[in-house]
Amino acid sequence: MKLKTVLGGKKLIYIFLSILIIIFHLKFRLLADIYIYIFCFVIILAAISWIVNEFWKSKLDKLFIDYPGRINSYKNFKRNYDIACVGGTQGLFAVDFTQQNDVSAFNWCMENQSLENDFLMLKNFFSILKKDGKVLLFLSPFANTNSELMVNKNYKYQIFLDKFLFTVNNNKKFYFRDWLVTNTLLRKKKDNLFLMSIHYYPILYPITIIKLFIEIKKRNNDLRTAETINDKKLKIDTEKRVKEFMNINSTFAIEKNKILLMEMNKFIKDRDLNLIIVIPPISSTLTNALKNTELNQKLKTFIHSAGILENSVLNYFNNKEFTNNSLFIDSYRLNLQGRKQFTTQLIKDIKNI
Amino acid sequence: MENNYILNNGVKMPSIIMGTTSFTSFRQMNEAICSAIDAGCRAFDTSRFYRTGGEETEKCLGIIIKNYLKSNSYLTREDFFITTKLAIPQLIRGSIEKDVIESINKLDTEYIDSLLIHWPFPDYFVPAYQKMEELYKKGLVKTLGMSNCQIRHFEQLFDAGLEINPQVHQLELHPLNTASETVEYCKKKNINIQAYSPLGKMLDPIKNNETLKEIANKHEKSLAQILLRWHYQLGFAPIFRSKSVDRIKNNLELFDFRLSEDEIELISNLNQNYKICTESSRCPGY
Repeated sequence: MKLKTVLGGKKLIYIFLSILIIIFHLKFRLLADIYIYIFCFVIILAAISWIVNEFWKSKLDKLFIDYPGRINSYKNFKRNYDIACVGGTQGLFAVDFTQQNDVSAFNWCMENQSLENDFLMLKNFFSILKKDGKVLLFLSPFANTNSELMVNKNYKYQIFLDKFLFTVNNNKKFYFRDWLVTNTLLRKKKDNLFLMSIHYYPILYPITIIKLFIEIKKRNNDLRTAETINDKKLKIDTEKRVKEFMNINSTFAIEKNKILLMEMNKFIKDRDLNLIIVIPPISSTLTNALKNTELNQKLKTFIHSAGILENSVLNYFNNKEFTNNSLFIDSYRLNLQGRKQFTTQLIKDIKNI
Repeated sequence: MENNYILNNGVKMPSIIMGTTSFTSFRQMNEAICSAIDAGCRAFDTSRFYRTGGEETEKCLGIIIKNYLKSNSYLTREDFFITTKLAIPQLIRGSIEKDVIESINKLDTEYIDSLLIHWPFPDYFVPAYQKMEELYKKGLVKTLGMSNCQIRHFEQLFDAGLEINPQVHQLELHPLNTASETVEYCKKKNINIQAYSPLGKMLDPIKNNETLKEIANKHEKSLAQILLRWHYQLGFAPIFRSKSVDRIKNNLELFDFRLSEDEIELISNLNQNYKICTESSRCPGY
């Protein structure tokens, strides 16, 4: 239900609720019938839940209107994209295609992504790319590194994907939605309630929905900002990132991620698409702080070990053109100006591959 | 209306098929199907997961055809060609025979004319097809097929060593998406094409296309008739859908005129590789 309809129907619902409450107080109180009290309570609760549900859903529909999994109005939805980006926070803040008129691109990068989540996004949405389209995988030392699928972060996907990977006892992976449908078929009516509770997700996931709103609001604000970080904040943020990197460094080149990257590469090739790995720039302050960690070399080794050819890698890690602190909102996320500048260069480089 | 394609196992498949999704009530479906049969349509496409006003569409279709046969003795079950499909959850579950028998019971028939795999769900579609072969041998299914496949899916299937080659492939085909590579491959393998969304949902680039309008005016036919005829002349069996009795009749009147080679080419040139159905969001990992 669209937001407009929800707002439009609000008055009626308020009137309905008011009438119920009045009846509740004036008439049924005198009868002192506990069952009627309970009945009214359930009705009121259901009505409130319904309003809250519809309100959240309409808001969420608006937030994710562009995602292909959410398309109901296929008529207006674009196909045959040239480029799709997958990756984590750095990827999200690395590119801005709004002013690139000669390419159609879609940025699917999301905060807190693992490589497995990237692959999942790709599996679900790659069909909107044209043949020979390019998949840009933004590989970052600060993300993509957790080998496990971050289920607790998956509330993002429940909104528009609703079919995240589901592992069962025999270690076979199923897609959640299909697992759900299969179970519904097997158990018939029993699971319809479960199916409904998933469909009406906000009741089931109130906390995750609130978290999602806060996260997206903050993200959208960050994406809009053209501000530059001040030195003090940059220093604090750099320390934080270095610490973060040191913590995850040990798990960086683990076998599982390597295999995952190899699988991704094969998946993309089999579908007549091209994988390009992009290592986005980070601020000069952070570059200097990470000087002794051999980060760049470790990234190269990891990519190479997954069998990715060097000419499919665009490495901007130490690119002087984009390391200027004035292009960043913190130590590793580009601001609006930085993103535009970087995107223009990135598209040029992609064409030269 | 006597226009059939002969499939690679000798079974006859009508050259135009009616889809059974999107009916909102049994009454509406009954009226539409009966008028289609009256107008000469003999092929119907359904699936276990289609619903008609809360009822299973397979069941509704079974009742409608059975009732029609009761009141029209000039037709028999053998005159009809019914296609149904196995959906992803059925492939995962793996009890193909049980599911097909259930479909047969719901359709109130003794066999299914064409059984397709709805989506080539990774890791599951090949074993499912092998189980379908057993049903074919038992005579429960007259033809086997795939749906929404790319060449790589067929190659996977053939590499697994098939006993019975698919006879039918159902895919999205219309002037905005001519899928020429897949079509060529199917031709080479002697697999007949069923085309869903044959009118491209009458999206603006089709509805407002001047070339199509000119061709339609020249032949004094509707745009839908021109597009369905284009499918027919290219050897495809279009699966049209409509709730309107008049439109159904109109769609089936496509055998009294012929498009020239140039006109066929002009229509084919509208291709933009525009798929209405984005496969990977329907079948993750597609």
